Parts: sequence; structure tokens; C-alpha cells
Amino acid sequence: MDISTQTRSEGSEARLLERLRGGDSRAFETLVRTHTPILLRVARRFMRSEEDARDAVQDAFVSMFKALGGFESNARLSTWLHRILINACLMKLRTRRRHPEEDIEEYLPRFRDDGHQLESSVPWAESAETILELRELSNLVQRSIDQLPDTYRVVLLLRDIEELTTEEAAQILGVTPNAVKIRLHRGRQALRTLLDPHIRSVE
Amino acid sequence: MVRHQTMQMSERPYITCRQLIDFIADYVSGDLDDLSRHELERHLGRCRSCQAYLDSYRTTTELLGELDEPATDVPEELVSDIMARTRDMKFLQAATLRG
Repeated sequence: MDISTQTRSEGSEARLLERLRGGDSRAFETLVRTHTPILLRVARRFMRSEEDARDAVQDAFVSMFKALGGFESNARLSTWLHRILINACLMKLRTRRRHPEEDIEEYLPRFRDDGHQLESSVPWAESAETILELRELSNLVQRSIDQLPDTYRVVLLLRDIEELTTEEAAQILGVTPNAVKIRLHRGRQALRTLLDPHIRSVE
Repeated sequence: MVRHQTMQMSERPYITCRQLIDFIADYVSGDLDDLSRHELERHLGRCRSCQAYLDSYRTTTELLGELDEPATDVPEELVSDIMARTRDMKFLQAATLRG
């Protein structure tokens, strides 16, 4: 986005915000229609059912209204809504959390006593680009992410897909940055293990 | 995998596969200090299994970064539900926000 486009965009956002604070219901509907497609896509990644994803988007808009008075205009509305939605998703996930959560250990690499890999790793036959071009493999990636225990899946989503920093993810989850780093690494390792049998090259 | 028994006595020991895999995330994100990076790369130069592991780990993170679902239309019933819920809150008439 160039500077003039950004300035125009910031200007129209400031006007929209002013209308929202003034109680303009049409401005609100515009906001809902503009942001719902993106928010719903994010919510679908976090929630395992369409109903929960839609509920999370609704909750996010309701939370946003409650907090509109305290919104600082120097932040982008879209960024703010994104964070509110993630919080709404995490809140819902906590109430849906399966007990006990599956163990991730079985998806982590195993080592011999001397620290070497128990089973040798084999190179993958496809690049990330090719995997995502092939519908079957692309669906497999999605299913494999869904298979991960929530503790790790959520960190993968926050860091690698929603692109929050380690510190931002730590803050939103109420854990230390180090815990986020460990969960991210384990989550990636587990996802790699789940994909490996389908993508490894045949020797 | 690195075979220690083939190493010369004068060589510095290699880090193990476990140590390498523990630090792969920092290696991929470029957060390792020079000495640690050098030790990882020394191991990678000798260990095809860890090289394969690193490549597939990288591909996994790339997959996550590029994963994109098709855009969807705005579900009308969702918009109506949101509008109804906020109307119920009488937010839009909340004079408190105007100041």
C-alpha cells in the first residue's frame, strides 16, 4: 500500500469510527459486512465446527462494541478486530477442550540413548508449493493440523498462520514466551510427523 | 546420522541429532548465535537424516505460512444475528460513548 492510499484508508477508517461511536447503525453494518469474511476464515481455522466459528465471530463483534469507547485510534480497526476474534476463539476453545488432551509425545522424533535419531528421516518428495497445489495433499495438511492437541495447534495458528510474534502469542495465551517457543516447535514437529508418511520420497 | 566411531581423536565431537533437532526452530528463524549455528551446520554436513529432517521441518512451516482457504461470501444470517445481538445491547443508542 503506498502512502497516499494508506492515508486515504486511515481517513475513511477514522470517519467510520466516528460514525460508529455516534451510534450509526448503517456504519456498523458496513463494518460487519466488510470484516466478516476475513474474520470467519480465521475463526474456521481455530474452531472445529462451522457453528462455533460463526458464534466466535458474533462474540467478537459484541465484545468490540463493548470496548469501542476505549479503542485507541492509532491502531487499525482490522488489527483490533482480529485480536478480539482470536480471544473469542480461545475463550470458546477453553470451554470445548477435550479432557484429557491427547499426548503429543507419540508425534515427536525418537532418539537412541546416544542422542541419534532412532529412525532415519527421509527427504520429502514435494515442495510446500506443490503440496498446496494438489487438493488431496492440501486437504491432508488441514486435517493434520486439526488432529493436533489444542495446546499446540493454537500456538501454530497464532505464530505460523496469524503471524503474531512470540511475545504477542504469549500475552494472548497468558503463558511465557519460552512456553510459546516450545509449543510451536513441538507442534511443527508433530505436524511434520503426521504429514511424513504421505509426502516422504520412496527409497 | 553422524557416526562417532569414524571420527578422528583430534576432531571436536559433533552435537547429537537430538541436540540439533532441539534447536531447529531457532536455526530456521535465524535466532541462533554464530557458534551454535556453526555446530548445527557441521552436524548437518555429515548427517543425511538430520538434513532430511530439517528440510521437511522447513517445508512444514512454509505450508502453514501459505495455507489459504478460499474466500467465502458473507453469510446473511450471520450478519442478521450480529445486528440483532447488538441492537439488543442498545449499544447504538448508547449516549455514554458519545463523549
